Amino acid sequence: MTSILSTADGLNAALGLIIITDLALLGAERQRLSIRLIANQGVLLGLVPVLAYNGTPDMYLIAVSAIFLIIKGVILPLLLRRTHRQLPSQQLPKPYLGYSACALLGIIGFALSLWIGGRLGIAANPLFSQVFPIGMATIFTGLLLIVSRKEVLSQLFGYLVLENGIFLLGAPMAEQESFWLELSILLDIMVAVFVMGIAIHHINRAFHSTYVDHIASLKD
Amino acid sequence: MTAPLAPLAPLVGCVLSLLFAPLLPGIINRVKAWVGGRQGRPLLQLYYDLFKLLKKSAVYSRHSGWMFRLAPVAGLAAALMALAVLPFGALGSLVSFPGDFIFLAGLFALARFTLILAALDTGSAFEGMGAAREAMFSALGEPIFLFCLMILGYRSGMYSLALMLGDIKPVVWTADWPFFLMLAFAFFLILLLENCRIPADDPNTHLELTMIHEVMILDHSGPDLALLEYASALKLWIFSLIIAGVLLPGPGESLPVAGHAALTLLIVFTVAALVGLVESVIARFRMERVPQILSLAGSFVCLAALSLWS
Repeated sequence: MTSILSTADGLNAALGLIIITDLALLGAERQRLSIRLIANQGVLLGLVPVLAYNGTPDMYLIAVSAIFLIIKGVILPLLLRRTHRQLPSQQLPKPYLGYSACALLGIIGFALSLWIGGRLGIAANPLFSQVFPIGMATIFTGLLLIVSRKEVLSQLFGYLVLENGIFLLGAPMAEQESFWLELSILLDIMVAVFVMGIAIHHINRAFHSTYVDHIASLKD
Repeated sequence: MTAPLAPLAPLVGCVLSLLFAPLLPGIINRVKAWVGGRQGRPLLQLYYDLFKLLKKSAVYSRHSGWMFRLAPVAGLAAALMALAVLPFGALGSLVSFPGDFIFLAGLFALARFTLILAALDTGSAFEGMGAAREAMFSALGEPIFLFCLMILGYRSGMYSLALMLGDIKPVVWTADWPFFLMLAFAFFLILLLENCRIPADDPNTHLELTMIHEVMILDHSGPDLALLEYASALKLWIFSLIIAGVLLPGPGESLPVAGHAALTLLIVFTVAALVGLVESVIARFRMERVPQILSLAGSFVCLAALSLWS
């Protein structure tokens, strides 16, 4: 039983929970639940660099991971929640693809990612092979959320999940210095979410709705 | 367990199951009452109810036939047969053969089939509605239940319940613990659906629009109702026992068979307490959303299967 508490198993557990949050996001009907799931996924992603580190993590790694965790797990969900609150309560339109069908496609995407991961051969960094299927599946989840949902905020969730997948693919390859690159991208994302939050507010004011179908009716 | 008594071990498991099964609904109700700040019904309420019902005589409608009388007996017989093939931890099972997990699913289907026919036999539109709902949800649930058992068999390399559930090696469990956890969660969701618990169904409701299982046994009374209630408790016990089998690796040097059986019992009671907790914090789903529980269970089984691949 002691091996359950080992770092490798901790990483496996975190990756397992990330794929579960992916599927839950695809099946989630309510936006408040989606925001909570994105927060949970952000916390898990913040833990991944520490869990993936071979050996005892130093203070530098812990500090950078804590920044990731706070931005992804706290600040971004708070921004999303603020945007969600500003919008009038409305019944969400039915997505282009049903929630259960999306979850099923998510599983197929995960199976496909495993298959691709198996065909890539032995990576120079063994952690990459471990993280790759989950990262790819998370990217696929993000894409699926963007193309299947009809509401702007839900599409923004997809954008964030897509970024989470890219982060996950980069996490095992990140040397300590390259964390700065990841961090700068993350800050860009945070600004983008902030700007999109304002944009969604204005879209809602102009169209009295945040459905993308309504925006498509815009003409010169 | 000492060697001369070893052949009696499966029998001990069965007797424990038969004795303690009616305790599970009591535990669920007590947990719900505790969370709700109430005193709740006595823990042994179902035992009292069963004795009371057995002392009464049954009332049969002039319009009901032999199928109505057969269903309670068939339901209990199926539950008893299911107990015979299901291992109680490492105590083993009374009957064991390759492919007995399909037999187990078949027994559940048989009990359900007779109950549906009995409900239709009454000629009540109300019971017919419940029967239709039961048939629809079970048609969705059965493939997932079978899939769960099949991948468990695939993982262990053996397709007998006694070996699949009662003899998971600690090394195997430690190596693949995410697989077993995800499978246990899927079984838990199926338990909620198959045993008509919240959020799939509410065993306490008597509102026409929301009932599934309860509506089918409305016309049964006396000993027949006692048999149906006891069979329901046994079914809940069987599902909890399956979850305990998945969650608990087999006995090793550090854990003797008796200790393993005690732990199994503890997990079964914990599962009942968890059901009570779930029923306390989650509202009943709308009828059209019930298949989503199965989608979730199916997703977890697929993830468990994929975790074997990776």
